[in-house]
Amino acid sequence: MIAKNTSVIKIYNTLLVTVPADPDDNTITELQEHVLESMEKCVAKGVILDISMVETLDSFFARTITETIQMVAVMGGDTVIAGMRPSVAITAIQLGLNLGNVRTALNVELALDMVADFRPGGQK
Amino acid sequence: MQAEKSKEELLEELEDLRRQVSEMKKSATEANAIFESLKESEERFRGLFENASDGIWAQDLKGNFTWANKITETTTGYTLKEFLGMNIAEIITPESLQEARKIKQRLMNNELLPVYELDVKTKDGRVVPLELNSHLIMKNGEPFGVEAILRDISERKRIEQAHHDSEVKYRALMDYSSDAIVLAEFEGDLIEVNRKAESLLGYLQEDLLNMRFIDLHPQEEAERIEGGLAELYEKGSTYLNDILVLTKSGRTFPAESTATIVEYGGKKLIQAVIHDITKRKRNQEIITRQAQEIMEISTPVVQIWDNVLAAPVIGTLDSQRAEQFTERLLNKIVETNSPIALVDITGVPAIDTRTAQHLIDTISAVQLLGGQAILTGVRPAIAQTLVHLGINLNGVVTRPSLAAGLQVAFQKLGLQIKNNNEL
Amino acid sequence: MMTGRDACEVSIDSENEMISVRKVIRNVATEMGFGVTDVTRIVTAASELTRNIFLYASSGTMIWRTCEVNGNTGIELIFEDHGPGIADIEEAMQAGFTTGGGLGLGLPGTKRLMDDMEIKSQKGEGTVITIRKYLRRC
Repeated sequence: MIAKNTSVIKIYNTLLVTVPADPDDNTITELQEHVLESMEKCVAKGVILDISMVETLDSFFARTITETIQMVAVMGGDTVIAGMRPSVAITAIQLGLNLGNVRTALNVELALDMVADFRPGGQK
Repeated sequence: MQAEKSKEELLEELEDLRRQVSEMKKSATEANAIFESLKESEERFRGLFENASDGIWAQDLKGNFTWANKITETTTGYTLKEFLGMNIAEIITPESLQEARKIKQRLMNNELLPVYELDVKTKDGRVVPLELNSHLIMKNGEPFGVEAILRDISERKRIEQAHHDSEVKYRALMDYSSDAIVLAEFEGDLIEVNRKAESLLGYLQEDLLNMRFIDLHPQEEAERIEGGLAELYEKGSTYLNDILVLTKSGRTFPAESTATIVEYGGKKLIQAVIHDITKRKRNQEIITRQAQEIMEISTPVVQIWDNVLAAPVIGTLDSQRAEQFTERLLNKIVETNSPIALVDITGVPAIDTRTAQHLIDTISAVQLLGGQAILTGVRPAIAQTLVHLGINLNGVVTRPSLAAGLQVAFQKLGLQIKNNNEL
Repeated sequence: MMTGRDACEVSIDSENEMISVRKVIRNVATEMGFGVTDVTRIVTAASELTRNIFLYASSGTMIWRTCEVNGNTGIELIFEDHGPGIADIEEAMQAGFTTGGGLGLGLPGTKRLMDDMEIKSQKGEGTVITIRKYLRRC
């Protein structure tokens, strides 16, 4: 099953997943399946969830992301959430969303560094 | 003998005499009845005069009082006994005496006089205004005296004066008001304006009196004015804040307008007070801007190194400031691509649960974004409070000073500081 | 007092409506002059309440309108359904109903995002939730 609005690219051993701006609940559910299928197919070590386009992060979306991260972890992968917008981050904290001890990065570039175990601020 | 009368004749004569006596008696009774009736009628008239609510007096041509009714006692303060020995010159003011002389002259010329006024000096020294209606008394075709009907009009005068005073006060209030005041017909035509209305709106009074209420505002306010009028008609008053007023030159200024329906001479009118709020608005804007500036100054966010921001918090963090601070910090992190933020609370005088929660939320938001916040400037007193309040700072890197925090940042970035003077 | 100038009703009867509710609210709030973070707060709150409607009541309506309370201009959103209702509003408003966890109501979090929140609910009759956010003057 291929989700319409989500692009998944493999860079070396990492999956770069770009989440669309305003996904509906089906798209979010499909995205989870898509990521897990790709993990298996591509033998990826890590996942970068690029949410820089996402304007609204509500509890359902947050819960699905947390679940996906846990599932990826069970499959032996590491997930980094990249590019959350300031307005989304502030709203998420105020709403009381709990993303657990998720790894985050300012942008995809820094996320790639992290997954490749480069330190942030190292030579890019 | 002829002298001899018959018994029948004598009896007849006697009968006749009796009849005559009886008739005489009857007419005497009738005369008496007429006399009684006359007497009664006179008493009635006398009573009428004496107890009339208006005073009545009569005087001879020299001005000596010859008759007066009871109410005159109340009006002048003199008893009738005293009064009837007096002359008019003794009981009226000198100015009124002159007037009285003219009146008498005109009466003597057979003029019919309108009602006139005289001031009477009462026995206890008060001056009482009287309204009089006088006419000449004739006897045998010659002038014999003057009779007058009089009324105490001090109450009426007092009301007139009070009315006049309030009119003067109203005018003064209108004209010295620092707000424009306009009076309009119920349908909106202006009928009275004060001086301030002229100067504020730039029109002359005569211009304004040819204008309508709605002409005082620019076209874009028409809808609000209509709404205001509807409320005015319904509730009797309305208040429009920050409404634009149009001057003759076409300039507009912000005002607050309070309109009420007033009764004026039995007619319903609209009275509106227009207060220029240009200055107040300007001041408000200055205050708002300064508050904003102070807020920005008290929570600046500066990049102090590649990848490192410093955000000193000065003063107390309330919800609004905390929100703005977080927003600015997060935006700056994204904008400068700096993952490490030193949130320095050296300038926070005291910390409470709320402030601590705001700081924790800010730090959590930075983490979600992909950055890391280090809380610096945690002085001993602040550390004590945080622990006593039971605030959970798990997962937050804290340091006592900004310098110590910067060291943590350098470590994370893999930077080292070298002292070249060491050797 | 409160006067509404613009208003519109959106019916909620499937998950797909979520997108249109969010889009409408985002446009209205942005046009009214809310900053990007406030817009996100309002849209997120609307998203939570819309989801509650089709999770618990399967269908309902959302009405948005501009409002003015004590001189503050703001946006007002009214969510109405004829679902089972909330048995204990006080309990539902308490923390512990975590949004991150199960299919929580997310009401305390929603309240934190907004300036005002009012809940009227009758068991078996339905629920009306009104939320408001005001434009800050500075």
